[in-house]
Amino acid sequence: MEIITISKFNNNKGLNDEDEEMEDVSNNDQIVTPGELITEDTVWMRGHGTFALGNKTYSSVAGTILKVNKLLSVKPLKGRYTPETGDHIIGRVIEVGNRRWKVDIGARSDAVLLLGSVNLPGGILRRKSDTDELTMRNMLKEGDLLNCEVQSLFQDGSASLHTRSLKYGKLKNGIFLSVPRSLIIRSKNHSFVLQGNVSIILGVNGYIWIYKTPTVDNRLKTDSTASTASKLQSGVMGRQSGYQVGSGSVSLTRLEEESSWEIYSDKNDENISDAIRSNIIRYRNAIQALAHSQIGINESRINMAYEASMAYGSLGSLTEPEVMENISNDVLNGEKMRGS
Amino acid sequence: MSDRRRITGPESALPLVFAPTPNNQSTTKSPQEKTNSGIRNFFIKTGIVSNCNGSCFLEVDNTTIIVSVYGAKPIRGSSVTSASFSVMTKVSNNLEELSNFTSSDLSHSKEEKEEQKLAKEDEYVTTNQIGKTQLSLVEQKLSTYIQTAFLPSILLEKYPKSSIEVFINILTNDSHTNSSLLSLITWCANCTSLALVDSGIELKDMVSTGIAKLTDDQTVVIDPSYSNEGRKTVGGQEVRAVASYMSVTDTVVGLMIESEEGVNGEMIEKVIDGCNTMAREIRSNMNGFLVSTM
Amino acid sequence: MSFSVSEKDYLYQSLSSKTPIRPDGRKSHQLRGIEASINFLPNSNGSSRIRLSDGSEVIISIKSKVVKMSTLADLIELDLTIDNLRDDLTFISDWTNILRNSLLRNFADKFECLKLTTRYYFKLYVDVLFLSSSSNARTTKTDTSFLQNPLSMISFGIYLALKSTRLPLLISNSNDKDIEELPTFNDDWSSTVLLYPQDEDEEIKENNTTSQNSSSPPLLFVLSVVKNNLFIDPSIEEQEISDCGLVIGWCSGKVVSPIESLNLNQSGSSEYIKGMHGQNIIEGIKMIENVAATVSKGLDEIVKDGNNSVFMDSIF
Repeated sequence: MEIITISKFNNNKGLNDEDEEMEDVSNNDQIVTPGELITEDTVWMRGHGTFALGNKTYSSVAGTILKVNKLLSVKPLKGRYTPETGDHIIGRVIEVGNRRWKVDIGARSDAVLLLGSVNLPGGILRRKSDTDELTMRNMLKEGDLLNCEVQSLFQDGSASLHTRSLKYGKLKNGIFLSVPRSLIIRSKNHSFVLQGNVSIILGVNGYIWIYKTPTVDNRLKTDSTASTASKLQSGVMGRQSGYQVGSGSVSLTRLEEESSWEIYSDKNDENISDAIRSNIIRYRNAIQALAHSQIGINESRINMAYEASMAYGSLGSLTEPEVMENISNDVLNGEKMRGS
Repeated sequence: MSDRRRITGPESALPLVFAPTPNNQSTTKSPQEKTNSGIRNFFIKTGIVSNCNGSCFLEVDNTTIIVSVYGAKPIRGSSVTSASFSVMTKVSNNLEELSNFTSSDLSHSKEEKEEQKLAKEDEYVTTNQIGKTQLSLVEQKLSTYIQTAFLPSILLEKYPKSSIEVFINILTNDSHTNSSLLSLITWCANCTSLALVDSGIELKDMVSTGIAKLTDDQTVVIDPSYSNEGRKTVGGQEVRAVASYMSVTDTVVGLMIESEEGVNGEMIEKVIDGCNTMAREIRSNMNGFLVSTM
Repeated sequence: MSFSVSEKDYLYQSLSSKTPIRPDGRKSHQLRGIEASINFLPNSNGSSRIRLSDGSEVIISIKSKVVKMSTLADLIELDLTIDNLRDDLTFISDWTNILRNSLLRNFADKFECLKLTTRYYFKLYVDVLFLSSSSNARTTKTDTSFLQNPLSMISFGIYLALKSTRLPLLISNSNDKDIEELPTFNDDWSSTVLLYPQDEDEEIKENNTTSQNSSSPPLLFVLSVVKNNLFIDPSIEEQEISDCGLVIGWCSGKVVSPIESLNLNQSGSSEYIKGMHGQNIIEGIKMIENVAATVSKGLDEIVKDGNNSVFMDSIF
């Protein structure tokens, strides 16, 4: 059984009426293969994934046609991640270099994280110093995973990253998972607080981090925007620690505290309960079920898959292909019912 | 006429006399009867190779082994947080005997054995050819076992960006039996342990290794000397095992069990216990040796 | 390339707790499901192919050749290729040794089935190709840090391939002790004989002694030891942080050698390697005794089903 859903860009929607006018261009959902003629019309500008022979435009990759105004490009179904400015991604440090880290982000070339693009430890925003250069490995070393954003692209298409925000930084208290990057549906937000005290970061590059939802005072930094988070948080706070001064806003002093060496610590929280650990694994298997059936991954589908997986008591049974397909079917049916 | 091409010495010159060679017996551990502990007598001496960081010579029966340790020395290239550890084994002599290991693993009928003897000469040639270019099977097994067993014992994280190399040289080996490999592993491992101590590399613990076999009638024989028994027992239910121990944490760091037939937990438990007994004995011997040579 | 410190710490905490949680949620004695097919190479006497859900794959081909008797150990040649890695890497020849020795030690009927005449034997060439799921993630040709230990999977593959191996039927005299003659064979493929005869007939089953019946190729199981817990068929994450590895052989209803300790950590970091307790070994053997029969039964099902690609469910 094969289910292929192709994630569409939002900006495609606006073009639908235009499609009818230019009929010789294939429909949006159509899959083209390398060497396939897309159009003979010369009004189109040729973008990524296309090439021209005379006046004819051909596809150079297997993928879906994407039209933005007069720009025609083919979005490959498979292949490595192509970074774009502003993408929220997860990367793994592979080399500590001269004032920069080399980061694997699953793209064609490794990304660069400049020393100037990270939150320097030990205080408020300040200029980088020589000591920082010497202690780079204390901040991030080979193998470390980080949550970051593509700041800009170099001429050759490789990315320059930054973590200059409290929601970015080193990852801990959780487990890593990699899925084909085409399955991650781009959205406004890529980090979510899920039920069961578990949070998730869906990197646009297909790298996923599932972790224990940080405790009260850290929670704001990871997800101050998610409304679910603040709701959850207020609930927990009410029960556990009562009201805390300054917990509702990010003050300058808090920024100072947050960006101390603590943010580069390798130490996981103590006493992550077995319940949370198994929840994390359940989410991991739920996502893997979605990936198994080639279903695009977003927050609501993860939640649905998680709930569907509850029907199977044993976590181990979730690795069976039959079960994974059942879960995916449940998710798709659930979406149909809701009409989304 | 005196020989002008030679410079003659002064009249009062005396012939050169060498100092008497120091008696090796001083470093030998006190001889033990096999009846006491069940372990053969062995001779050890450390620091005999001068151009390496640590070395050890071991002799048991007719088997002689030299282990030399090089390192920790710096390596070029990418930064690594801990040292790399590698083991190389070289069997200098008796390649022919050792190549037996693979073929004689199996029990043959009598006529096959005769045929096998005929074929042995061919085999010798092939082993030799292989031995030139890459490690032979025995050397390979030995290296891997030693490496696996000693990885947990060395504090590799104390030596970032460096490498520690162990070279095991088996000078002579006389075991004509199928378990020559296991017995060789045991003594190589014990020798390596002392060589590492001699090199001054920081260790979590000394690894001591024991060998034992479980015979047909479920009795455990420690450090079986195969040269006497020949291959009489082959074909019966016999389990042979080598196990390496770190006594501080009481953990098994290396294990190799061989048997022609199926085994069960009980048999393994017995034979491993035997290994443990021997490993303890060896450990106390090594401690005694080290204290006496300090 | 390696795992991050906190990742490894998290995994270790999860696996070393009293109620261990594996990174893919499996029970400690649960193997990963495999997808397998046999006899898909028309040019081989026997072949098999096994895939894991993570994309790693093992392809095995068995070919035979008539040789003059030399030593029994020469009757099986095993060649292991992993991705496009150099074949003189230490661990590759180690794995080859372990696989080959386990075959030699536990071969059916002590090689009786390969015997043609008093002078001639069949020699088997076992060619193994392992395609790891990590070949994509590899940065350089020598980077083996993401290579998982394939021993168990390969031994399953060899099991299937050997059970599907057919050898030509000898039509010349099998006794050539006095008169030397070259063996001749029936050239009809349909009259070939299975190397490991399938006991389909219930009657034969009853008539034969049990020892003959249960003869099957050896299987290897890799165990990962984390504190007091043992995990069968460890994934790459589990291998990275295990205290010690253990390989245990199983053949015809019994635990057999090799029973060896193994270094599972491919990335070269040694911080988690600690060794195991004697009790772990005994427990491991018990675990294999419980699980192995189910595995071999599952593999036999695949052999019976023939050509079709069959998914073998994970074992509970």
